[in-house]
Amino acid sequence: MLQAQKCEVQGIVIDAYSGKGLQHANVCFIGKKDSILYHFQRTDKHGKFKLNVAPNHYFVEVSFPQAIGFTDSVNVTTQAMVQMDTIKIWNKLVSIREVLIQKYNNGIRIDGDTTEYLADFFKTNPGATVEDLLKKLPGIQVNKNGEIKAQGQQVKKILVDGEEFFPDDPSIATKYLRADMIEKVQVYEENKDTLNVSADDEKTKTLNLQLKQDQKRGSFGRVEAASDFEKYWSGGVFAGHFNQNLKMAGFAKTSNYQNAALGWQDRQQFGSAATGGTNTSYENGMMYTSYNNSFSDELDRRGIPNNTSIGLLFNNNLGKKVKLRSSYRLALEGLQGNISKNARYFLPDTSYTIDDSILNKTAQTGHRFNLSVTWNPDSLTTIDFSNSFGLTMGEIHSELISKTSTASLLNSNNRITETEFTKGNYNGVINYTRRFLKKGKSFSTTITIGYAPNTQDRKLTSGSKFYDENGQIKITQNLEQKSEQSTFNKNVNLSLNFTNPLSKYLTYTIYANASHKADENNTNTFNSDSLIVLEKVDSLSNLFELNQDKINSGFSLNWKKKKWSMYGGLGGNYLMMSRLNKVSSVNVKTPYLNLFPAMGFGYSWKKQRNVGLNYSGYANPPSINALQPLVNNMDPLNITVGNPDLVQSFNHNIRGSINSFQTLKGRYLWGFINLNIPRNAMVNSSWIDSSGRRRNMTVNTNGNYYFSTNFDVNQRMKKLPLYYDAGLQTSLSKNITFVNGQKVITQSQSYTMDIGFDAEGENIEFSLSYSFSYNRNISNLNNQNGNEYITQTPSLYLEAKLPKKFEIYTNCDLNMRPATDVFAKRNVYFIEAGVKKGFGKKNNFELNLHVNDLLNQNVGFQRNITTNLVSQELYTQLSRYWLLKARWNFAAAGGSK
Amino acid sequence: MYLHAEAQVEFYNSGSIKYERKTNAYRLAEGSWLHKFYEKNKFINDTFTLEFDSIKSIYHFPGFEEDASEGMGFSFNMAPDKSNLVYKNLAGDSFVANRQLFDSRITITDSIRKPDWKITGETREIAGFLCHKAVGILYDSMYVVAFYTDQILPQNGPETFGGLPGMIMGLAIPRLYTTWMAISFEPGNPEILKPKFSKKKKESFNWSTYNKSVSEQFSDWGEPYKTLLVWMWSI
Repeated sequence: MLQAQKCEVQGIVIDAYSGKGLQHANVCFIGKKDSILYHFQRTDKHGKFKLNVAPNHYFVEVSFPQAIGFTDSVNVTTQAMVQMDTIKIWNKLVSIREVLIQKYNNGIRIDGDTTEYLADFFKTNPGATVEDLLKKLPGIQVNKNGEIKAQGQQVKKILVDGEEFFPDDPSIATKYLRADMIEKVQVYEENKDTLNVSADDEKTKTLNLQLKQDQKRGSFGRVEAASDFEKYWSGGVFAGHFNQNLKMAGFAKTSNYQNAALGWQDRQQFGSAATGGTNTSYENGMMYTSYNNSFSDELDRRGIPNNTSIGLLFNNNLGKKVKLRSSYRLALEGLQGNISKNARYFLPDTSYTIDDSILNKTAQTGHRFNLSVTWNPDSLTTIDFSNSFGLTMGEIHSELISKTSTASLLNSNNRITETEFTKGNYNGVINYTRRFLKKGKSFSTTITIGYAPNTQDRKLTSGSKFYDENGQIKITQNLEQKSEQSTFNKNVNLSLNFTNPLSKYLTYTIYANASHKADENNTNTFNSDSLIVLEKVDSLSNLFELNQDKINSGFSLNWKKKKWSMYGGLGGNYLMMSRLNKVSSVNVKTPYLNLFPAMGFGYSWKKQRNVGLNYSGYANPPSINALQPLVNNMDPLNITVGNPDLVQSFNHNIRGSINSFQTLKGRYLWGFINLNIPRNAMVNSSWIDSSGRRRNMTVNTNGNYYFSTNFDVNQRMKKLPLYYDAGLQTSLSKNITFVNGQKVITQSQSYTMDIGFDAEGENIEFSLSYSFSYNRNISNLNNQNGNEYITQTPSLYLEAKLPKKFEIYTNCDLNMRPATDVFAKRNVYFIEAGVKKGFGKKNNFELNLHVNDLLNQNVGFQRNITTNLVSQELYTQLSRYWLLKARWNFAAAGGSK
Repeated sequence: MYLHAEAQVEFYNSGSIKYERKTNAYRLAEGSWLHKFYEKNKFINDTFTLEFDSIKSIYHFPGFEEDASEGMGFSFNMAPDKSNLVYKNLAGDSFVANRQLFDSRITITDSIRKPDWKITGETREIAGFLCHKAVGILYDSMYVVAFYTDQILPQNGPETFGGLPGMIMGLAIPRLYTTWMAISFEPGNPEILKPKFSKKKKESFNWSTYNKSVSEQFSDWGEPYKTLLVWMWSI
């Protein structure tokens, strides 16, 4: 055996707190490739060690009882002597604020698709909320409205200890629970490899907040208030009492300036409420119709909000076998604002400009009550019965002035709409799941029932004027119309699911579903010339029922062995849609037969690394709006016509993702790639007449695609308390629509690059970032205008601790949007700043003087570029104001730390 | 407020550890005529003690009277004889084991067992001490799993094993279905005297001569009993 020249390696091991040398620490040199323990030594009474080490690549591991192990990588060559850097050892017994790491972990653990963060590893200020903690976790982003994205995907559900906590207000958990109550944050994906996922179920993430054991006992809460003593007021109180088997909580809050962070979960509503005044937009191959004036489930932030909400939660484990979960919520929401829109439409031979000026006032009251009972008669069986009752009532008042011009004014329309609506819904789910003694074998069956009755009464007053080339009025149209609409959506679904392992690595699942869905729509429209006599307009009234009966079934195979996992499956679906027009007694039946394939694989080449690729195919039947024969004159400039020849579309979807955490380097990388190709996509076809009136219809087409990627890397720089974050997002798409019979193709590209630095010191924390985005749209109609633009946003966040528990902070977002051919330059320098003072040991009481939009620049702003349309929208938003905020956290026995 | 790391942690240089040695004779005897014999009482348990200081140690069954001749008993050679003992000298990196081989008392002298230990990173608690796992191979094919603690300083362990950065509190040899687990530790300063052994040549061996002799002794026994005994006795 060749006696290689040995190298003398020296070093010192010290206690991280006292700085004193640690005696008897074990310093081990372990071969990187073979894991063999080659050399080891105990440190002397000064903490020093000196070893003769053969040249090789080693992991040096230092262990000391009740301290966190230290690992470093050392490459020993034939040098005579190597002095290692001082090795600091952290004692586990010291306060929770310090580092608590599991094996070689820097606070993050990746296990397949789940990412787990150890909360205490990420330093937060005393009294910080869960939202403040989430902002520090790599891979998680929280925006101004409290909405959360994890690894680029929307977080739709937040659980506390694995259970729903105020399901209609997920932000209660993030804004009222304290960061120091949390042991772990787990992020995982829902709907990952299930087959019968319809197009609407986008892949979303779920966040689980696991509370610390000692936090599961006791009461805690928070009271807060803010005002400028003149115009703006807000207040809130939250109290919770948790113990091993019981969670009780309640909150009440009110504000006349802040957007209520409402549930961004989908509220379950069946069918659709057919109303008029449509705007179509396209996203990921889906055609979304949004309504100008109604308060749909899509949260409208255009205006000044006014809201009050009250919530109560009671979760109790009754004995070992039964769990009760209940919550109630009352929300009073109002929104008031002005919107001004400027849009340009491009046609083969000409272009139109439309200027809209809108005033909106909405108010609604919503109740929701959830009750669920889970019973485990034995350790293998679970029976769950969940109910959700909701009732919303509201009013919308909307005034619109719209002008359409080409070279000269073509038409103008003044419109006032008053709408009163009542929406109710009930959902019930019964689920029976039985696991068998054989590991991995289970059977479950679910029955779902839903009822949603809605009524909507609308009064419309509209005056339209049409002009000739000389600016003279050609035609005048005045309309007084009242419409009463009631819809009733009913849904019953039975599903069966059986999973069984075939071997140690292979499992199969078979499922079958049967569902019946009935949407009944009764609309009566009345014209009135004199506001006294109401004449029913038969062509605008209808009574019809849309039934969808569906049977689907399928199977999937899942294989998992060591580093690999794979799945593949096929589902088949028979859908019978029938439309019965009860006025004309015409009944049209259309059957659809579909196959839904899905497959994918995942590979975890090392611990904490994971890469996956998935394919799924799914079909979308045409919506009731697209098929229905009702001609709606709500908006006399925009008329929607039904298309009975529509066939369903089929989407091919490919998605790849990567998640990797290199513990020794402290580098976290995540990314995904998404490609969606629809066949027979449903797109808009418009016919525009010489007066600027449009007739819209949905048609099928091929050739669309949507491609997007998103990558992010986050790393701690060596030896400095500095992190850097870099991200790249791209999206490319091709969108086809039809205008006046001609195919309009728009190709869009967007590239966004983000780079940022975060530094944390004892008394200062700052974050500097820069975002650059390049967007390009080319359409065969619109090659010149507004088709290329760049936006840049440098941002700075600074927080500094001053003596006597004062803290100052500022947040600056300098949004730069240069001018394009169509739009003027629109830079918005948004700066907010403030000073805080904490009182009490853990800053239990805090006063905060805050200024929003120091330079008074905030304007609500949205730009939209689609196939043949370029539009910009400005809406009322709160700009400069100041507030004095007070916040008090209270806790009792066990809840405090 | 912090706690000085060392104030909470104790290191030990001497004391005595009781090990429970457990053999699953039922599994070990599979395939041989002994198998049925162990159906009811599958395990053979014995407790041995390791008394040690920073330089030397004795691993033995305390209370056993020397010179008392204990027959094989109903253990068919599967159980360690209670008269076996191992004396180790860490300074000289050597051990002397004294054991009964059929009708003679023999002595094995050799260097302390130190296979190329591989560190896996796993840990486990044994007798209240947090231990690190290490895996080694003996005789090219016999896996040995050891758990050592940072808190007990001598590089020692049960039987003839040692050579890890701390005291071995747990040992397992899967092929022999046998484990040694520390069940208690008592700090103290035991007196360790080197026992007197016979110096007769025909009773003195080292590992290789001993293993050869064992093989020869059992050469006319039937399989699989023969191989299994050879392995059992090689430790």
